Amino acid sequence: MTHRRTHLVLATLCVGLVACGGSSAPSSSEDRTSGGEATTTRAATTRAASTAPYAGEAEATPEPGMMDDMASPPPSMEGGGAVQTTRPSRQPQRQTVQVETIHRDPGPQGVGGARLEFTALMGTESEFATALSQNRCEDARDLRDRICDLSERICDIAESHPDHVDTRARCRDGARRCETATDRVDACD
Amino acid sequence: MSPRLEHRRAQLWKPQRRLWEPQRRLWEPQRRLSRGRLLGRSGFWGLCLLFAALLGGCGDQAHTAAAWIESAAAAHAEADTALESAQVGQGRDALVRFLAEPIPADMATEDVRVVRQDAHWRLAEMALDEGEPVRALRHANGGLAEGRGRDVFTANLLVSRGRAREALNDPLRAASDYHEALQINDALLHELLDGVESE
Repeated sequence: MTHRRTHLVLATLCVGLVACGGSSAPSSSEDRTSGGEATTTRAATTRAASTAPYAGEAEATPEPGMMDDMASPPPSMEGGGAVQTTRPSRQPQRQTVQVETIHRDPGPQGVGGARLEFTALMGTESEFATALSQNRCEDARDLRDRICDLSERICDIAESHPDHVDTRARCRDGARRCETATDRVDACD
Repeated sequence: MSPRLEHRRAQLWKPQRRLWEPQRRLWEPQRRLSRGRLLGRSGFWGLCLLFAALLGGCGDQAHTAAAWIESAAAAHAEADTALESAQVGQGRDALVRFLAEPIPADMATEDVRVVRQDAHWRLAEMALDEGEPVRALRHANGGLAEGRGRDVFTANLLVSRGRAREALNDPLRAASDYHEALQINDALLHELLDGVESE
Protein backbone atom coordinates (compact mmCIF):
# COMPACT_ATOMS: atom_id res chain seq x y z
CA MET A 1 0.00 0.00 0.00
CA THR A 2 2.89 2.33 0.84
CA HIS A 3 4.45 1.60 -2.54
CA ARG A 4 1.21 2.33 -4.33
CA ARG A 5 0.96 5.63 -2.56
CA THR A 6 4.49 6.49 -3.48
CA HIS A 7 3.86 5.57 -7.10
CA LEU A 8 0.72 7.66 -7.17
CA VAL A 9 2.54 10.66 -5.76
CA LEU A 10 5.35 10.24 -8.25
CA ALA A 11 2.91 9.83 -11.13
CA THR A 12 1.03 12.96 -10.07
CA LEU A 13 4.28 14.88 -9.82
CA CYS A 14 5.37 13.74 -13.25
CA VAL A 15 2.06 14.71 -14.85
CA GLY A 16 2.15 18.06 -13.13
CA LEU A 17 5.73 18.78 -14.09
CA VAL A 18 5.05 17.88 -17.71
CA ALA A 19 2.05 20.20 -17.67
CA CYS A 20 4.16 23.03 -16.29
CA GLY A 21 7.00 22.39 -18.70
CA GLY A 22 9.62 21.65 -16.04
CA SER A 23 10.61 25.29 -15.94
CA SER A 24 12.76 24.92 -12.87
CA ALA A 25 14.94 22.18 -14.26
CA PRO A 26 18.53 23.31 -14.56
CA SER A 27 19.96 23.79 -17.99
CA SER A 28 22.33 21.24 -19.38
CA SER A 29 25.22 23.66 -19.14
CA GLU A 30 24.52 24.40 -15.47
CA ASP A 31 24.25 20.72 -14.77
CA ARG A 32 27.47 19.93 -16.51
CA THR A 33 29.40 22.68 -14.78
CA SER A 34 28.26 21.92 -11.29
CA GLY A 35 28.70 18.21 -11.83
CA GLY A 36 32.22 18.72 -13.03
CA GLU A 37 33.14 20.80 -10.04
CA ALA A 38 31.66 18.29 -7.67
CA THR A 39 33.50 15.44 -9.33
CA THR A 40 36.80 17.26 -9.20
CA THR A 41 36.46 18.15 -5.56
CA ARG A 42 35.38 14.67 -4.60
CA ALA A 43 38.24 13.07 -6.53
CA ALA A 44 40.79 15.36 -4.93
CA THR A 45 39.50 14.65 -1.46
CA THR A 46 39.39 10.89 -1.97
CA ARG A 47 42.82 10.65 -3.40
CA ALA A 48 44.30 12.91 -0.75
CA ALA A 49 42.80 10.73 1.93
CA SER A 50 44.22 7.54 0.46
CA THR A 51 47.69 9.03 -0.08
CA ALA A 52 48.07 10.81 3.23
CA PRO A 53 50.44 8.95 5.57
CA TYR A 54 48.78 10.28 8.68
CA ALA A 55 45.15 10.10 9.50
CA GLY A 56 43.29 13.37 9.12
CA GLU A 57 45.91 15.11 7.03
CA ALA A 58 43.86 15.03 3.88
CA GLU A 59 41.20 17.15 5.51
CA ALA A 60 43.61 19.96 6.20
CA THR A 61 42.78 23.24 4.59
CA PRO A 62 45.11 24.54 1.88
CA GLU A 63 48.05 26.51 3.12
CA PRO A 64 48.35 30.23 2.30
CA GLY A 65 49.59 30.62 -1.25
CA MET A 66 48.12 27.30 -2.26
CA MET A 67 45.80 28.84 -4.84
CA ASP A 68 48.75 30.58 -6.42
CA ASP A 69 50.47 27.25 -6.76
CA MET A 70 47.41 25.82 -8.44
CA ALA A 71 47.19 28.69 -10.88
CA SER A 72 50.83 28.48 -11.95
CA PRO A 73 52.51 25.24 -10.97
CA PRO A 74 56.27 24.98 -11.07
CA PRO A 75 57.72 23.24 -14.12
CA SER A 76 58.77 20.18 -12.12
CA MET A 77 55.18 19.41 -11.32
CA GLU A 78 53.76 19.73 -14.80
CA GLY A 79 52.42 16.46 -16.06
CA GLY A 80 51.81 15.21 -12.56
CA GLY A 81 53.25 12.35 -10.61
CA ALA A 82 56.75 13.77 -10.38
CA VAL A 83 56.54 14.72 -6.75
CA GLN A 84 57.62 12.02 -4.30
CA THR A 85 58.55 12.63 -0.71
CA THR A 86 59.98 10.39 1.94
CA ARG A 87 60.22 12.94 4.68
CA PRO A 88 58.26 12.04 7.77
CA SER A 89 57.59 15.70 8.53
CA ARG A 90 53.85 16.30 8.66
CA GLN A 91 53.66 19.81 7.29
CA PRO A 92 55.60 19.38 4.05
CA GLN A 93 53.96 16.03 3.46
CA ARG A 94 50.55 17.60 3.67
CA GLN A 95 51.41 20.14 1.00
CA THR A 96 52.91 17.51 -1.24
CA VAL A 97 49.85 15.35 -1.11
CA GLN A 98 47.58 18.21 -2.05
CA VAL A 99 49.71 19.36 -4.98
CA GLU A 100 50.24 15.84 -6.21
CA THR A 101 46.56 15.13 -6.10
CA ILE A 102 45.68 18.18 -8.08
CA HIS A 103 48.26 17.74 -10.79
CA ARG A 104 47.70 14.05 -11.19
CA ASP A 105 44.08 14.65 -12.04
CA PRO A 106 44.12 14.83 -15.83
CA GLY A 107 41.37 15.38 -18.36
CA PRO A 108 39.10 18.24 -19.27
CA GLN A 109 37.46 18.27 -15.85
CA GLY A 110 40.76 18.65 -14.04
CA VAL A 111 42.30 21.92 -12.89
CA GLY A 112 44.12 22.43 -16.19
CA GLY A 113 40.94 21.85 -18.15
CA ALA A 114 38.94 24.05 -15.85
CA ARG A 115 41.54 26.80 -16.20
CA LEU A 116 41.30 26.58 -19.98
CA GLU A 117 37.52 26.69 -19.81
CA PHE A 118 37.70 29.65 -17.44
CA THR A 119 40.05 31.50 -19.79
CA ALA A 120 37.77 30.76 -22.73
CA LEU A 121 34.77 31.96 -20.77
CA MET A 122 36.51 35.19 -19.81
CA GLY A 123 37.40 35.75 -23.45
CA THR A 124 33.82 35.10 -24.51
CA GLU A 125 32.51 37.46 -21.86
CA SER A 126 34.88 40.16 -23.04
CA GLU A 127 33.81 39.69 -26.66
CA PHE A 128 30.18 39.74 -25.57
CA ALA A 129 30.66 42.99 -23.67
CA THR A 130 32.35 44.57 -26.69
CA ALA A 131 29.57 43.44 -29.02
CA LEU A 132 26.96 44.67 -26.57
CA SER A 133 28.60 48.08 -26.38
CA GLN A 134 28.81 48.31 -30.17
CA ASN A 135 25.16 47.32 -30.50
CA ARG A 136 24.22 49.97 -27.97
CA CYS A 137 26.05 52.63 -29.93
CA GLU A 138 24.26 51.50 -33.08
CA ASP A 139 20.94 51.66 -31.27
CA ALA A 140 21.91 55.09 -29.97
CA ARG A 141 22.61 56.25 -33.52
CA ASP A 142 19.18 55.05 -34.60
CA LEU A 143 17.54 56.91 -31.74
CA ARG A 144 19.52 60.07 -32.48
CA ASP A 145 18.48 59.89 -36.14
CA ARG A 146 14.87 59.52 -35.14
CA ILE A 147 15.07 62.42 -32.69
CA CYS A 148 16.63 64.67 -35.31
CA ASP A 149 14.18 63.56 -38.03
CA LEU A 150 11.21 64.30 -35.80
CA SER A 151 12.73 67.63 -34.78
CA GLU A 152 13.22 68.55 -38.41
CA ARG A 153 9.64 67.67 -39.27
CA ILE A 154 8.30 69.71 -36.36
CA CYS A 155 10.37 72.68 -37.44
CA ASP A 156 9.07 72.33 -41.01
CA ILE A 157 5.54 72.56 -39.64
CA ALA A 158 6.53 75.49 -37.41
CA GLU A 159 7.91 77.36 -40.40
CA SER A 160 4.58 76.93 -42.16
CA HIS A 161 2.72 78.21 -39.10
CA PRO A 162 4.85 81.01 -37.67
CA ASP A 163 1.96 82.28 -35.56
CA HIS A 164 1.67 79.08 -33.61
CA VAL A 165 3.75 79.64 -30.50
CA ASP A 166 3.53 76.08 -29.17
CA THR A 167 4.83 74.55 -32.36
CA ARG A 168 7.71 77.01 -32.47
CA ALA A 169 8.59 76.07 -28.90
CA ARG A 170 8.43 72.40 -29.82
CA CYS A 171 10.75 73.09 -32.74
CA ARG A 172 13.29 74.76 -30.46
CA ASP A 173 13.07 71.96 -27.91
CA GLY A 174 13.44 69.30 -30.60
CA ALA A 175 16.46 71.06 -32.12
CA ARG A 176 18.12 71.29 -28.72
CA ARG A 177 17.50 67.60 -28.03
CA CYS A 178 18.82 66.70 -31.47
CA GLU A 179 22.03 68.62 -30.80
CA THR A 180 22.51 67.00 -27.40
CA ALA A 181 21.79 63.57 -28.80
CA THR A 182 24.30 64.10 -31.60
CA ASP A 183 27.01 65.12 -29.12
CA ARG A 184 26.33 62.15 -26.87
CA VAL A 185 26.24 59.63 -29.70
CA ASP A 186 29.46 61.02 -31.14
CA ALA A 187 31.06 60.40 -27.76
CA CYS A 188 29.74 56.83 -27.80
CA ASP A 189 31.55 56.08 -31.11
CA MET B 1 18.03 68.86 -49.70
CA SER B 2 21.26 66.97 -49.06
CA PRO B 3 21.35 63.19 -49.59
CA ARG B 4 21.92 62.71 -45.87
CA LEU B 5 18.83 64.69 -44.97
CA GLU B 6 16.82 62.82 -47.58
CA HIS B 7 18.03 59.55 -46.14
CA ARG B 8 17.11 60.64 -42.64
CA ARG B 9 13.72 61.82 -43.75
CA ALA B 10 13.08 58.42 -45.32
CA GLN B 11 14.21 56.80 -42.08
CA LEU B 12 11.61 58.68 -40.11
CA TRP B 13 8.92 56.38 -41.33
CA LYS B 14 10.84 53.21 -40.81
CA PRO B 15 9.54 51.00 -38.00
CA GLN B 16 11.69 51.24 -34.93
CA ARG B 17 11.06 47.82 -33.61
CA ARG B 18 8.67 44.98 -33.99
CA LEU B 19 7.40 42.72 -31.32
CA TRP B 20 7.82 39.33 -32.86
CA GLU B 21 8.90 37.22 -29.96
CA PRO B 22 7.91 38.80 -26.70
CA GLN B 23 9.50 37.25 -23.66
CA ARG B 24 7.02 36.31 -21.03
CA ARG B 25 7.04 34.52 -17.75
CA LEU B 26 4.48 31.93 -18.67
CA TRP B 27 5.03 29.48 -15.90
CA GLU B 28 4.16 29.93 -12.31
CA PRO B 29 6.78 28.89 -9.78
CA GLN B 30 6.44 25.26 -8.91
CA ARG B 31 5.08 24.39 -5.55
CA ARG B 32 6.76 22.03 -3.13
CA LEU B 33 5.09 19.73 -0.70
CA SER B 34 6.80 18.04 2.18
CA ARG B 35 6.39 14.29 2.00
CA GLY B 36 6.20 14.12 5.78
CA ARG B 37 2.84 15.85 5.62
CA LEU B 38 1.39 13.20 3.37
CA LEU B 39 0.43 10.91 6.21
CA GLY B 40 -3.07 9.83 7.02
CA ARG B 41 -5.51 8.36 4.51
CA SER B 42 -7.89 11.26 3.92
CA GLY B 43 -5.14 13.84 4.18
CA PHE B 44 -3.05 11.95 1.67
CA TRP B 45 -5.78 11.78 -1.00
CA GLY B 46 -6.88 15.31 -0.34
CA LEU B 47 -3.39 16.62 -0.83
CA CYS B 48 -2.95 14.51 -3.95
CA LEU B 49 -6.11 15.98 -5.46
CA LEU B 50 -5.13 19.49 -4.41
CA PHE B 51 -1.67 19.09 -5.90
CA ALA B 52 -3.03 17.77 -9.18
CA ALA B 53 -5.53 20.60 -9.34
CA LEU B 54 -2.82 23.17 -8.71
CA LEU B 55 -0.55 21.75 -11.38
CA GLY B 56 -3.42 21.29 -13.79
CA GLY B 57 -4.41 24.89 -13.26
CA CYS B 58 -0.83 25.95 -13.85
CA GLY B 59 -0.78 24.08 -17.15
CA ASP B 60 -4.07 25.61 -18.31
CA GLN B 61 -2.97 29.15 -17.51
CA ALA B 62 0.34 28.72 -19.25
CA HIS B 63 -1.39 27.28 -22.27
CA THR B 64 -3.80 30.19 -22.54
CA ALA B 65 -1.11 32.86 -22.31
CA ALA B 66 1.22 30.98 -24.62
CA ALA B 67 -1.56 30.43 -27.14
CA TRP B 68 -2.33 34.14 -27.17
CA ILE B 69 1.30 35.05 -27.78
CA GLU B 70 1.52 32.42 -30.50
CA SER B 71 -1.63 33.84 -32.04
CA ALA B 72 -0.03 37.31 -32.14
CA ALA B 73 3.09 35.95 -33.81
CA ALA B 74 0.98 33.98 -36.29
CA ALA B 75 -1.08 37.06 -37.16
CA HIS B 76 2.07 39.09 -37.85
CA ALA B 77 3.53 36.25 -39.90
CA GLU B 78 0.32 35.98 -41.90
CA ALA B 79 0.34 39.74 -42.46
CA ASP B 80 3.95 39.50 -43.69
CA THR B 81 3.08 36.76 -46.15
CA ALA B 82 -0.03 38.57 -47.33
CA LEU B 83 1.82 41.86 -47.85
CA GLU B 84 4.57 40.10 -49.80
CA SER B 85 1.93 38.86 -52.22
CA ALA B 86 0.13 42.23 -52.23
CA GLN B 87 -2.86 40.77 -50.38
CA VAL B 88 -3.18 43.74 -48.05
CA GLY B 89 -6.75 42.94 -47.03
CA GLN B 90 -5.81 39.44 -45.97
CA GLY B 91 -2.96 40.71 -43.85
CA ARG B 92 -5.19 43.31 -42.25
CA ASP B 93 -7.84 40.70 -41.47
CA ALA B 94 -5.29 38.53 -39.68
CA LEU B 95 -4.33 41.37 -37.35
CA VAL B 96 -7.94 42.46 -36.80
CA ARG B 97 -8.87 38.87 -35.91
CA PHE B 98 -6.07 38.76 -33.39
CA LEU B 99 -7.19 42.01 -31.78
CA ALA B 100 -10.68 40.56 -31.41
CA GLU B 101 -9.38 37.57 -29.45
CA PRO B 102 -10.04 37.52 -25.70
CA ILE B 103 -7.10 38.53 -23.53
CA PRO B 104 -5.82 35.84 -21.14
CA ALA B 105 -6.53 36.73 -17.55
CA ASP B 106 -3.04 35.79 -16.38
CA MET B 107 -1.18 38.12 -18.76
CA ALA B 108 0.47 41.17 -17.23
CA THR B 109 -1.22 44.44 -18.18
CA GLU B 110 1.93 45.94 -19.68
CA ASP B 111 2.56 42.80 -21.74
CA VAL B 112 -0.98 42.95 -23.12
CA ARG B 113 -0.52 46.63 -23.91
CA VAL B 114 2.63 46.27 -25.99
CA VAL B 115 1.42 43.18 -27.87
CA ARG B 116 -1.86 44.84 -28.81
CA GLN B 117 -0.20 48.22 -29.53
CA ASP B 118 2.15 46.54 -31.95
CA ALA B 119 -0.80 45.09 -33.88
CA HIS B 120 -2.63 48.45 -33.85
CA TRP B 121 0.48 50.25 -35.05
CA ARG B 122 0.93 47.82 -37.91
CA LEU B 123 -2.69 48.27 -38.97
CA ALA B 124 -2.23 52.05 -38.87
CA GLU B 125 0.87 51.83 -41.04
CA MET B 126 -0.92 49.60 -43.53
CA ALA B 127 -3.78 52.09 -43.70
CA LEU B 128 -1.34 54.95 -44.32
CA ASP B 129 0.33 52.97 -47.08
CA GLU B 130 -3.09 52.43 -48.62
CA GLY B 131 -3.80 56.15 -48.48
CA GLU B 132 -6.51 55.85 -45.83
CA PRO B 133 -5.56 58.30 -43.08
CA VAL B 134 -8.95 58.14 -41.37
CA ARG B 135 -8.56 54.42 -40.78
CA ALA B 136 -4.92 54.95 -39.80
CA LEU B 137 -5.97 57.55 -37.26
CA ARG B 138 -8.55 55.16 -35.83
CA HIS B 139 -5.99 52.37 -35.42
CA ALA B 140 -3.41 54.72 -33.93
CA ASN B 141 -5.94 56.04 -31.45
CA GLY B 142 -7.00 52.48 -30.65
CA GLY B 143 -3.41 51.57 -29.89
CA LEU B 144 -2.86 54.62 -27.70
CA ALA B 145 -6.08 53.85 -25.86
CA GLU B 146 -4.45 50.62 -24.67
CA GLY B 147 -2.20 52.75 -22.47
CA ARG B 148 1.03 54.64 -22.74
CA GLY B 149 4.59 53.89 -21.81
CA ARG B 150 8.02 55.32 -22.38
CA ASP B 151 8.78 52.80 -25.09
CA VAL B 152 8.98 52.41 -28.84
CA PHE B 153 5.45 51.00 -29.05
CA THR B 154 3.91 54.22 -27.83
CA ALA B 155 6.37 56.31 -29.88
CA ASN B 156 5.56 54.36 -33.05
CA LEU B 157 1.85 54.94 -32.57
CA LEU B 158 2.39 58.66 -31.98
CA VAL B 159 4.37 58.99 -35.20
CA SER B 160 1.69 57.06 -37.12
CA ARG B 161 -1.01 59.28 -35.68
CA GLY B 162 1.02 62.36 -36.57
CA ARG B 163 1.33 61.17 -40.14
CA ALA B 164 -2.39 60.49 -40.30
CA ARG B 165 -3.15 63.96 -38.92
CA GLU B 166 -0.83 65.58 -41.41
CA ALA B 167 -2.59 63.69 -44.20
CA LEU B 168 -5.88 64.97 -42.79
CA ASN B 169 -4.59 68.57 -42.91
CA ASP B 170 -4.07 68.89 -39.18
CA PRO B 171 -0.32 69.63 -39.00
CA LEU B 172 -0.32 71.42 -35.66
CA ARG B 173 -1.71 68.44 -33.81
CA ALA B 174 0.66 66.25 -35.83
CA ALA B 175 3.55 68.35 -34.53
CA SER B 176 2.31 67.72 -31.01
CA ASP B 177 2.37 63.95 -31.63
CA TYR B 178 5.81 64.14 -33.20
CA HIS B 179 7.12 66.09 -30.25
CA GLU B 180 5.76 63.58 -27.80
CA ALA B 181 7.38 60.74 -29.76
CA LEU B 182 10.63 62.73 -29.83
CA GLN B 183 10.61 63.09 -26.06
CA ILE B 184 10.15 59.32 -25.64
CA ASN B 185 13.04 58.61 -28.01
CA ASP B 186 15.21 61.12 -26.16
CA ALA B 187 14.46 59.41 -22.86
CA LEU B 188 15.29 56.03 -24.39
CA LEU B 189 18.57 57.40 -25.71
CA HIS B 190 19.55 58.71 -22.28
CA GLU B 191 18.73 55.36 -20.70
CA LEU B 192 20.80 53.56 -23.29
CA LEU B 193 23.85 55.80 -23.09
CA ASP B 194 23.81 56.15 -19.33
CA GLY B 195 23.83 52.35 -19.22
CA VAL B 196 26.92 52.30 -21.44
CA GLU B 197 28.70 54.95 -19.43
CA SER B 198 27.99 53.33 -16.10
CA GLU B 199 29.68 50.11 -17.14
